[in-house]
Amino acid sequence: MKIKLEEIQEEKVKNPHLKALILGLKVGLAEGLSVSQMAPKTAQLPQEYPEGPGHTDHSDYSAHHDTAPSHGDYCD
Amino acid sequence: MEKPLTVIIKPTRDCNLRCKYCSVGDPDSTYMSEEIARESIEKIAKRYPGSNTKFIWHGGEPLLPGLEFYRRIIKIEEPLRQEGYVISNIIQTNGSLINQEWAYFFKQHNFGVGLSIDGPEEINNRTRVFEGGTGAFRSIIRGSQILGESGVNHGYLVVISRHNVDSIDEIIDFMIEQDKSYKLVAVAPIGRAAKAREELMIQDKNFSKSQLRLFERWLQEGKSSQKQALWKYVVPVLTGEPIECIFEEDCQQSFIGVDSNGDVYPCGRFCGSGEFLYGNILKNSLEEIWNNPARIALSKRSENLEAKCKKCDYIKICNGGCPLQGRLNGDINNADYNCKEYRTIFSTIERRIKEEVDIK
Repeated sequence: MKIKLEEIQEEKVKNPHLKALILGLKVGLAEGLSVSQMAPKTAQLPQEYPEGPGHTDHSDYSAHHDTAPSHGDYCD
Repeated sequence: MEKPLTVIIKPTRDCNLRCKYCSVGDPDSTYMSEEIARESIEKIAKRYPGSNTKFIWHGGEPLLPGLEFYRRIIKIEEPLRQEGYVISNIIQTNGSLINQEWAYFFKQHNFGVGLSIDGPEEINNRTRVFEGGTGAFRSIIRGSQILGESGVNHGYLVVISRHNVDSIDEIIDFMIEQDKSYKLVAVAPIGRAAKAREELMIQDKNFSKSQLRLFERWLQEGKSSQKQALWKYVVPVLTGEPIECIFEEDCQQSFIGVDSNGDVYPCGRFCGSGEFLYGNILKNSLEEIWNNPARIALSKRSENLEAKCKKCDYIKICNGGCPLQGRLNGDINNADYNCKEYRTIFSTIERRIKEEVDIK
């Protein structure tokens, strides 16, 4: 494993979806969230958290903002 | 602060479907009594003041016990919530029995709902069938529509087996059309699937190929639901932190399973496996269950993993994979039987991310 999230320079990320994910993770971790807390829900995400190029990927914090329960971390 | 606990609880092993890969095996008519349900909820929720517990009602088909069973569950949980315990409910159903009453109940009581579906009609009906062989697709979709019309958030769970592993693009397209979040789970050779390995098990590199195809589609299309399905692979590669029960260093800190007769196991997948029976919720104290030698051994798995795991580049984000799937590979301390597939997935995603972020 040689990737270090904190060392990735966003401006060098070519893919917009990967860039949004990396940005979302960096902000979420800086806010003190765990990666599990930032995981999108199994249940459908609410429409108020859209994503896309040029838009902060709020769905990365869905567990933080969205109270709808889901499977979370269970595999089945 | 102690971690939230997820309880995979089986109100019955009975089912109205006969899916070819069912991890439970042949259905039986055991239904959970109210006494067992009450003891499970109260004993586990009260493990410490203000605990956070998530109950995943699993099966068998968890709607078969009927709505009245779940109304009693709410009556058991409500006083506990008023005492400060945090309790949530999720139900994993085949969807075929959902009607307006169920949907209203789920909405009213904030149940998360997962529907099991294996893709569009022709693909789903290869595996998910009623007794007699009729495909369940239309019943599942009808259930999903009723939930949607009632405003109940729900996602899909897709089991990847030999029957659909080569149809990943059709499955991804179907999920886009349905606008649903979903998870892809590799079939495990347990229960009914253990008797049909040749027909069901994914051979060679097909599982990793399906996941990596989804990864490439996400890079191109960027759908939120695709990202959700890939979260357990992509985010650990970026952050170095494992995600999902199968990759946790000690899943027993976060998961436990209760079978319909009150027997307690490491998780839902272990239910019925005598060697890992921790006790019975009616007969044993929680302390006795927690201190069961099998649970302690499972908790120490990361220390006792086989040598090849300890040398692996991905040990920190995989932790040897699922202990049950290690056991299927000969011993709980062995690597998950999907080890090669996981390595291929992690290493390919790592290489592709490096290309995308311009890291040498």
